[in-house]
Order: sequence, then C-alpha cells, then structure tokens
Amino acid sequence: MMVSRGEIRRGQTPRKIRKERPESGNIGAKIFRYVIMAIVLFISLYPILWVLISSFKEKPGGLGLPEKWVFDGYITIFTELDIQTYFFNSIVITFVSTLISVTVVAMAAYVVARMEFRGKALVTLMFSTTLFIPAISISFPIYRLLGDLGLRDTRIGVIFIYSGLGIAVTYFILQSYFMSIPKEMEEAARVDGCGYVGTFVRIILPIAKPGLATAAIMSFLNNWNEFYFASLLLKSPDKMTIPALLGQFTSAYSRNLNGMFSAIIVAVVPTIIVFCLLSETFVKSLTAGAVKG
Amino acid sequence: MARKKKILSKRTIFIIAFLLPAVFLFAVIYAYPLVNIFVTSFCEWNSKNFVAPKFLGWDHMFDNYIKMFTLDKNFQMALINSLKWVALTLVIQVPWAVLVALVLSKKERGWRFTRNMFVIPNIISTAAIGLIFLNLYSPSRGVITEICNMIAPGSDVSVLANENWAFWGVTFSFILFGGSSCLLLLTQIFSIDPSLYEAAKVDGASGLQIDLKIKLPLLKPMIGTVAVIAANYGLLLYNEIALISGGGPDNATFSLSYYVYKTALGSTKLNFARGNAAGVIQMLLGIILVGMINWFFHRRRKEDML
Amino acid sequence: MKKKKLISLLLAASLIGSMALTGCSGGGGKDDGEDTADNGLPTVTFTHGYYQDESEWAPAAEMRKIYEEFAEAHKDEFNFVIKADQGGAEGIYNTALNDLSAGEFYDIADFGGWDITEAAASAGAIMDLKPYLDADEDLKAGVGVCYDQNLTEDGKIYTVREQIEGVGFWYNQALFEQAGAKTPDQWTSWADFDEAVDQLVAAGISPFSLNAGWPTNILAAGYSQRDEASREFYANGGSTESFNDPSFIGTMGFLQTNVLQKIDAAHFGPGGDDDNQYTEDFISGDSAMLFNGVWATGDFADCEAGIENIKPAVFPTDDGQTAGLLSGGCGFVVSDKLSDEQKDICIEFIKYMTSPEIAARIVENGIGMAPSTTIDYSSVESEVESPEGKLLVQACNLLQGTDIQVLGWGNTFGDMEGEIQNKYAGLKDGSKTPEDVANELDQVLAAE
Repeated sequence: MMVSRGEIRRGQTPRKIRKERPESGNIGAKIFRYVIMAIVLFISLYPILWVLISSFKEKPGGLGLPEKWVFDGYITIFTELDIQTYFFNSIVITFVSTLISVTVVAMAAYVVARMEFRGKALVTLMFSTTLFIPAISISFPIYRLLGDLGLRDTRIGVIFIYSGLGIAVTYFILQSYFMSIPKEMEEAARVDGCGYVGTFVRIILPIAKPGLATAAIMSFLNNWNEFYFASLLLKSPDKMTIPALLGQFTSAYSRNLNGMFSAIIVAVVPTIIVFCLLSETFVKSLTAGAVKG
Repeated sequence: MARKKKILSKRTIFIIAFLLPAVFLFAVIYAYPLVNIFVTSFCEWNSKNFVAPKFLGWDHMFDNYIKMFTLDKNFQMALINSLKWVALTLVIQVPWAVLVALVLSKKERGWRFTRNMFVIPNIISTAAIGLIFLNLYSPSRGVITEICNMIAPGSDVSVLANENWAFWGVTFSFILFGGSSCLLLLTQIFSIDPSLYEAAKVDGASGLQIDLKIKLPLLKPMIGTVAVIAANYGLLLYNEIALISGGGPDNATFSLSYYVYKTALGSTKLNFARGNAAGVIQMLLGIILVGMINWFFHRRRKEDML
Repeated sequence: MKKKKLISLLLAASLIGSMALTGCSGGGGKDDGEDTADNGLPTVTFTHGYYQDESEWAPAAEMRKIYEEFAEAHKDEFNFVIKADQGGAEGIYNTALNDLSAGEFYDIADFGGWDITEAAASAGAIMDLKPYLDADEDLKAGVGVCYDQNLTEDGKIYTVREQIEGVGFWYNQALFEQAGAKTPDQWTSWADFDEAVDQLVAAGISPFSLNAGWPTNILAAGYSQRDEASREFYANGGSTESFNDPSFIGTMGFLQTNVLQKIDAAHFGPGGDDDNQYTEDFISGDSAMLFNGVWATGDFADCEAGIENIKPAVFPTDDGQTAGLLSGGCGFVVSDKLSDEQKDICIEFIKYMTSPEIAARIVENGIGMAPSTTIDYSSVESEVESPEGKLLVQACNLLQGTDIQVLGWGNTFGDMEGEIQNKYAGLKDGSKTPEDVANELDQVLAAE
C-alpha cells in the first residue's frame, strides 16, 4: 500500500521530489527513519545531558531539573585543575602517535595486500595476535623498556607505545581497503615507469585516502581514550592526559559528587566541540577521492 | 634470467623495507610479552616468587589451565560472559550500526547532527562513560531506580546489586554506542556509485529493496571489519566492568580481561601465571573469532561476485 | 584543492610544533628532583600518595607539610626528596610491581595499605626493619600494633606505618533517642544491638546504610569477636582451609537476618571504591549508625545530622568485653639496595613519623589514628578545637582502650575478603543461605 502511494506521488511530481531529497521514500519509511534518529540522539545525548543537569544540583542525581542551581563544582575544577594542560597533552600524544601508526602500518598492509611472498600469513597472524594481548601482560616489559630508554614519564614514551598499540585494527582496515583497489591502476603506473615506492606514494596513497582517514579516526579514538598505559607511564601532572585524569576522579572526588559531575562535563565537552568542528573535515577527507565501485 | 633476478631482489628489498617499521614496532612492544605470556602460563608465578617464575614441570605443566577449567568458577563465569558479550556485539551492536548508517545515508533533515552525536559516546573516554553509567544505575542518585519506582512503587530496583541485571547493566553501557562503526559504514555507503542503484530505483525498487539487495552486499567487507572491531571490543571488555560493576555482584560480571586483571594484579597473591593462562585462552579465542568473521565475510563476498 | 593543501600544511606544522614541544618538555622533565643532587650530600627519595590539593582533602596537605618539615630540618645532613604520586597509594603499588619486574624499587615509599611486602621480599628488594625496632624502645612503642601484625612467619618486619586503620562505628544519638533505643555505649552484648535495630526499624528509622563491601565487612568483623570460638577462627582467617566453620556460618547468618534483611534496597549499595552512599545517608540524618573508621569525622563537619548528635562507639562482645579493629597494614617500605648511610636516613624518617609529636599531629589534624602507644589522648583532645577533631580523638581513645584489638576484615582474609563480600547481596535477597556462602567460599579456596 505504502509503496504504491509513494509511487503515485513520485509519478505526479517526480523531478521536484528527487531534487530535494534524492533518496526519500514514502511517509512510513520517513517516520521510521526519524524514529531511529530520535533513538540515536536519545541514547547518545541523554547520559551526558543527565550529568550536565546533575552537575548543577546541590545533591546530584535523580530525574528533573535542579531546584537550586549550584556552580561550586565548576569553580573548584577551573580554579584547581589545569585542564588545558591535560588537553594539550592528549592532543599532542594522540595526533603524533596516530600519524606514526597509520604511516607504518599502511606500508606493511600494502605489501601484504598486494604482494606474494613467503611468510605473508605469518605477518597477518602476528598483527592479529596483538589485538588480544591483555594490556596487563605487556605492561611489565613495556615499563622496563621505557625505563631502559629513559622515556618513562615522557610524552615521547607514551607516543611510542601508542604508535604500536592499535596496529591490529589499523592493519585490518587498511589491508582490506588496499585489496579493494583495482590492480589495473598499479599496473598502469608500473608501465609508466613508476617504481614500487613511487607507485605506493603517488598512486595508492591518494586513492586510499578514505581508508587512511578511516584508520586514522579509529586509531585516534583509541589513543584518545587510552587509560591504562597513560596512568602507568605518566606520573607528572604536567604530562598527564584526559583519561588518566578522569581515572583519578573516582578517588579524588568521591566525597564531592558535585565536583565529580562537573569534572566529567569539563573533560568531555571540549572533546565534543573539537570533534564537531573536525568532523566535517574528517568526513570530507573520507569521501573525497573515494573509489567508485 | 639476470633481469628477472634483479627485479625479484628489488621487489624483496621493497617488501622488507615496507614491512620493517611495523615489524619493528611489533617486535619491541609485543614479541617478548607474547612469548612471556605463553611460557609463564606453564609456570608457577605469584607473589611468592615474583621475579622468578618457575616451570611447573612436564607432568604438571597444564595445571593452571586444568584448574581454571575444572575448579575456578570465576574463570568459567568470565569465559561465558565474554563469549556472551562477543555474541551480543555481533547480534545487537553491528546490526544496529548498519541500520543507523542506512537510515542516516538517506540524508533526512538533521542527519549530520545525528551522525555527530552518535559518535560522541565513542570519543569521550570509556572512563567517563563508566562513571556516568555508574551514577545512572545508583539506587540513591541514579534514574533507573526512580523510573522503576514510578512504574512499580516500592520496587527499589538496584541494577548493580542483582546478578542478572548487573550483566545487562554493563552490556547497555556500551552495546548501543556503535557511533564509530556507523561512521565507517556511512563512509562506505557514500562511496557506492549511485548509478548502481539509480537504475534499480527507476525500475521501481523500494528504498528497502535497494538497501537490502544492493547496498548491503556492497557493504559486506566493511561490515566484516566493523564486526571484527566490535567483537574484539566485546571480548576484551574491561573498562566498563572495572568502573561500573567491579566484576560484581558475586563475580557475575567478570570478563576474561577483568579476570586476568583480578588474578594477576588485583589480588594480593599476584597470580600472574594463572592470569597469563587466561590471557592465552583469550588470545586463542580472539584469533579463532577473527578467522571466523573474516572467513564468513570473505566467502560471502566471493559468492556475490559469482 | 587549496583548502586541502592548507589543512595538510596546518597539520604538518602543528605536528612539527608538537614534536618540538614534546622534545623540550621531555628533556625538561628529567631535571625535576635532581637539582639538589649535586651538593655532595647523600640523597633519599621518598614517594607518597598524598597528592590531593588542600581544598580537595586537607589531610593530604598536612601530611606533605609533615614530610617537608623533616626534609627542611635535615637539609644540611642529607637531601630528602619528596615526591607525590598522582595515582595515590594504588599508583605507588602498581609502579612498585612494575619496578620490581624491572629490578628496581623505590628508595622509600608509603604504600598506604597496599601490601607490596610479599612480592618485594621474594625479590629481595626490601629491608628488614626488625633489628632497628628491637634496638630502639621508642621506635617500637611508636609503631604500636604494627610490630606484631607485620611480623612475618620467618621473623621479619618489612613495613611499619605512622597511622593505622582504627575502626569501630558511629551512631546518631538523636535518632536512637527518638526510637527509644539503648545507645551503643550502654550495650553489653549483641542482643542489645538486635534490640536497638528492631526499635529503630519500628520507629521508621533506617538503622544503617550498608553495601556489598566495606561497611558490612566492618560489622561482620565486629560481630566475629563475639565469643572465644569465633575470635579464634577470625585470628586464623588468613590461613583457613574451610569456611564451613560454625562461627563463620553464625556470622553470615547474623548478617543475613539481623542486619541485611532489616534494611531496604535503597540503603544497600553495590559497593566499590566510590560507593559512599552509606556515609551520605548517615550524615544527612537518614540512618542511625555508620560503620566506618575514625577518619570518617572529616565528613561530619556541618552535616545535616548535626555533629553534636554523632558519637563514636566500639563493638560489644557476648562475654562482656569491648572490641575494636586496628589494622596496621603496609606503610613505609625501604629498599634493600640503599647504602647504610641512606638506610639510616630512612630509619630516621620512620622514627620521626612515628614520634609522639607527629602521632599527636596526625590525630589532631583529623588525618587518622596513630599506632603509637605513647599518646596521651586527653591532652590531645584539649589541643583540638573543632568538634569533628574532638570526635576523632574520642574515637581513637575509645579504640586504644578496647579489650580486644584485631585486624580488620580485609587484612584478615586477604583475597577472600572480596569473595566474601560478593555474597552479601545474595544473603540480603535470600537467594543464598549462610551454608551456601560457606560452600561457595570453599570452592574458591579449592581453585587456588
């Protein structure tokens, strides 16, 4: 029924509807989409809005709006926590480690995706295993290694570790993306006299931009949220990252719920703002240069 | 002959040079721990001999594993829970992310905003999410108890105090947050050549038919990747448990990762040997899982091509 | 195209900039704490977990001040470098484990209750303090119960503390009077406890707020001192081979029917580090008893329940005695790799920290209870002005005077503490009997 009605409507003014909403269907489908979007918005935003509202309450928690608006928590946070330092650290560490990780893994993933050589399966297995190693099991050796290198409690040490932490996911994404690139493109480049490295840099990388961006986002999110190694390796307050700071909230603010709720908001809101600003760039780079088919 | 040999060696150099940095990272960060986990799982290694793990002997080398599977209720609970969480991510999170991606790809009003908001739970750290849910579930200051009391006065539901509910309490702190998966899928949808489904549309195919018959098959490789990432998250689930339920009540929300932590670091006995044995099991499960998911999507892709 | 180029340029620039910055601050960070090392004097680095800002937790600032005064007083003899770990005592413990695996250890650190001694001793990394304690009567008196409690089976003492967990409980006198119940200072047996609980419940007052952890453990530990048989089981709790013991089952049965089932779900939290609701309920005047240590007074100032109504108490026994929980646990631990000169500095510091002056200061400032047996509490009380400070002194005095002084639940049962408290929810909702609990705990023991 619904379908036929939609067809009739489309028949009446086909061009106009198509132009406005290229993929809109009938009313039922539209309602369904809005319902789904509403659910998505609710589950994504409610927890944070709840904390936001609660942070202004004298006694945080419960449903409803605050009876009396209290700002004590925020005053404490802003006067005593050097929040911008933590943000700066998080940004530097995450950006650099993501860049290194994606570059290094892209090279390896390309070789595996495109070339035949002995031990290829081993390389894949090797990267796969890293996905499941418990963080606790690698923490002792890593701690010792960074101590030997004199990199404990430095941002470079954490960048180094983060560069290696997400290699499995990055590898999976990039390898499958490289495989989806038609082989003819490289062959053409090869005929034109491009070397292996030249082909990779000039032909493959530009085509693989969406894949690289995707891998970078995943790696970025992982490193941005990494908590265990950050709190293990970074001891000086001026080097700590946001997640390491959040880890302290439970103990430091257990007596001060107001402070804890405000702290969550303060730590989370700039992240959200940065993401919203960056998301368009992200998504544009994702769709730009996409391979057809 | 000579020329061929030269090309081959150039190729080899290229392969080695490109693999080297990643292999170096792997070797430095993972290689030793991998061997270490495996070897010490056949050892006695706890607070009594913390710096000197001792091999259990050939007759007893599997003692850690045998005890885990026969006696250790916490391990058994952790194993079952982790498998449940893997299954739930595959059954709930992945399809949910696919559904949302398909819905958003229709570009209804507000889709961009919805997309950005959906990713928010993934970009704020799990530490924050954990704290938020801990408070939401709290009987005194949370909302769940209050809502339940509205529906059934006096019920005084305490999500985290009940063994069955606590499992779902932990589950719902992450299972619906498929934002980054959705983003990956959305990207893939937008990279589909519109000509592939425009034709079908002209032929009178409904939006649903186009989604199911044309877009979904094209999305399969990406769904496979998303499934691996999601299942991996379910298998390794740790932060949410540590922050929300602490493995409780009565160890009902142990996961393998949490078990490893509890046994090795979170206990005065520092039983690293047992923790690493559980780590070996976790790694084996993970490899099997990735293999299965890859095989599933790979095989299906080939069929579609035929 | 232009835009893309611009973005990539910006990115590259920011990366280079950030690289430079990390490089700079990475290098700069290494200088911290080493700037005093070049004056030829011996150096000892002391690490502690009192990192909190004064406004967050005032005792932390006071502790730092105590440390700094020591360093200042001896600055001509040696360099005493003080470092705060942002991860608190737990962070120090985790770092120590990692250090041990790398063959290192702190010079001296305060582990704040996180027991590193077994692992560190098995690695041969820490020094035995017993000879120093035996040689110095004042030092021995200063560490009080720590001497006996931390004596290992092979006759060594690896750690002592300047403060101990002194635990009894608190009650709200006004609520007891409102219910017409006998107050805890008049209790002579656990039957009085039961009677008071029933009267409070009848008056519509929640007798206590508990959770599947800490406060309930305190009550269980207190009740475990009720008679000789139970005390014996408790004293050997750490090495017990079976929980199928009548006194333990009796304790669990008491918890189930006389405690947990007397309160509603809203007064029973899930437990965990940040489940502090049981305290909130007490200080807001919603519950009549609070099972927490002497340091809980920090939350009592200006509370809704009214600080004048709050009184400390210790546990009764069924044979006419009183009982308190005094746990030393793991505190100062000293590396064995230090030179004799450095070791002497550490002992000097421990002596300072356990001296009567510092002990009095720890109590006066509401930081906690000191183990020292040399404190004159009545003179300390007169020094203190704030009502919450006076309460703390009273509580310490009461505990120091108890007939039976035992370790707390966690120090007694070790890892099993967690397993035992796991069963509280099941006991409360009736899904487990005390016998089930004992059997399930025995299964855990068997799996070890």
